[in-house]
This record gives sequence, C-alpha cells and structure tokens, in this order.
Amino acid sequence: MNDFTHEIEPPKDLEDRVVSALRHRGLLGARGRRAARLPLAVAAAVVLLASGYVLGAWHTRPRPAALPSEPRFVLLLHETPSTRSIDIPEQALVEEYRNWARRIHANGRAITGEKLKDAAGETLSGFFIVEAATLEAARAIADSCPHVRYGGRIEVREIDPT
Amino acid sequence: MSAGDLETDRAIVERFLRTRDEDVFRALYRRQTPALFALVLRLLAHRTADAEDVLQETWIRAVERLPTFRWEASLRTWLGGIAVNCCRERLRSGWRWVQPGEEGLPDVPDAQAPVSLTADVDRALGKLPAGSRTVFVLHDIEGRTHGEIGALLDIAPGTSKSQLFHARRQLRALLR
Repeated sequence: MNDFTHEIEPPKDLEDRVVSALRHRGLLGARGRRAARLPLAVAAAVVLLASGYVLGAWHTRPRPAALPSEPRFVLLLHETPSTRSIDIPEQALVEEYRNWARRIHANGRAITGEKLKDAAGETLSGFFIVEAATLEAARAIADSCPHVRYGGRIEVREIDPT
Repeated sequence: MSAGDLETDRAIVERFLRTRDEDVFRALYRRQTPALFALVLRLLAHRTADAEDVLQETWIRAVERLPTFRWEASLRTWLGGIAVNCCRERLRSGWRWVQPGEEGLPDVPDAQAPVSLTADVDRALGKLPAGSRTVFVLHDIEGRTHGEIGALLDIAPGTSKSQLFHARRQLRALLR
C-alpha cells in the first residue's frame, strides 16, 4: 500500500516569485498583452546595437596571445512563415536575443550582427558574424540562437580570410 | 498520466511557446508544480526554503529549454529530471553514493520487497544520505526504473539498485 502524497501544494507566493524571475530574464511576456510583431532579425540587431557588440567591440576585444585566431563564420538569418507569424511581446523577444548574445560573448567569442533592409521576395533579413573553431562549432552556435527555436532558418558560411 | 492529459500538457506548452503569455505559464505552473514540489521536498529532506529555491530554478531552466523539448517522455518526467539535477547541485557537498566501509554492496535483484510505505517513511527519509535518498524517492515513490534513474543521475543501474537496497535497509532500521 502506498500512502505517499504525490502532490504537495507549494506556498502561494512561490508562483509570483517564479513568474517574476522569468520576467526578469526575458522569458515571459505580460498578461494577455498581444505582442507587436517584430521580425526576429530586427530584435537580434537591436540586441547587438544596444549591447555594444558591434564592430567596434569586435576590433577591441583582447585576444589571448597564445591562441591562434579562429575562423569567422557568418550566420545568415532567414525569415519563414513561422517567424513572421510569431506572437511574442517585443521586450521579451529582445531580452531573449540579448541573453543569447551575452552567453556567446561570455564564452569568449566576439559576435556582431546587422539587420538588412527589407527587399521584396527576400527571406534574408539579417546576419551575425561569430568566431568558431570549426564549421560544426559555428553550426552549434547557430542552433542555439532563438531564431531557430522560433522556426527561422540560419545558413552558416565560413568567411574567406584572404 | 493518460493520453488526454499528455495532449493537454502539449497544447498548453505549445500555446505558451507561441505567446509567452503569463497566464498560460501560470496554468502550466499550477498543473505541474504540486507534483514537482513533492518530489523536491523529499529529495531535500523537507527543507522548505531550499525546496522553494530549487523549484524556482527548475522552472527557469525548464522555460529556457522548453523550445527544444521533444516530447519523448511526459512533461512531468522531463520536469522531474531537471528538478533532480537542481537538487543535486544544491546538495553537492553532501552528495555521496556509497557509505564508508560499504563499497562492496551486492547487486540486488529487483524482487526484494520494498519498505512498507507509510507516512513515517517520508519523515525518516530526511535522515538518509542524499544519494540513496534520491534513488529511493525516484524508484519507490516516483516509480522510475533503475535504467531511467541511471540515465538521470549518470550512474550505472547496478549502482542504483545498490543504493536502493541501502536506503531500504536504513529506513527499516530507522522505523523499528
């Protein structure tokens, strides 16, 4: 016979604390507020410009003397029907991209990006440039980007260093 | 959990991922947290303040990872796995698998009778070492197999069996 209680109600205020923690991390939108649709690449570019990860930061990032420079890769962000129909509060989206970029940067990798002007019939909306040891490593970084989680497509190409 | 419950969990999660709406998250939280809280409380020997912190961390990690959840297990099982790892991190300094002098625990057949499961056991659980307490909770309360426990805790199924044997033996001694 099993007398164990399999459910125990948590303290009432814990729910609000969890919600607050999620909102602080940009993982949660407001109650019932419809999001202004924002192309994800725009959110990404806003993040990068606001966070200072533009080309200036790229050129001034100190590089350990013992390490050779790694190849650079461009992550080409393509919009899809999924990314165009997403409905997320703008601030939550920007915060999610910002946290992603911070993690990339905190791992010692410079990252920069730009939004492209809209062009009829084009799915390419922006790009990131990131250092990585190999193409597979660059693809892993791309796979971690919020753009992919929301159904976007990221094309990864190595930049010719010559 | 029934197929209907599974579908409801998935529908709520998908709606949350599309909208990130707070009310949708609260619905998900209220649906899953009582079971999660019971698990975490037991793993942390009913240290309520620690359990609340772990539960908060569990939800933060879960929401971060939800977009990549593949529904290969139930949502509750997946959340439980995150909660277990959060508990392990909280208990890191006290986490050990083998009692001193008992390194040679025999491989125990699954047919060994479990401890008679009463509410007193719940209270006695707090006196077990974190490692064997976790295996007992996951196996005898949560109903996971030794294979599942091994994958979750990154231990061999044989170690899980040994720890369960040890936990049951200690509990019997405590409850005499």
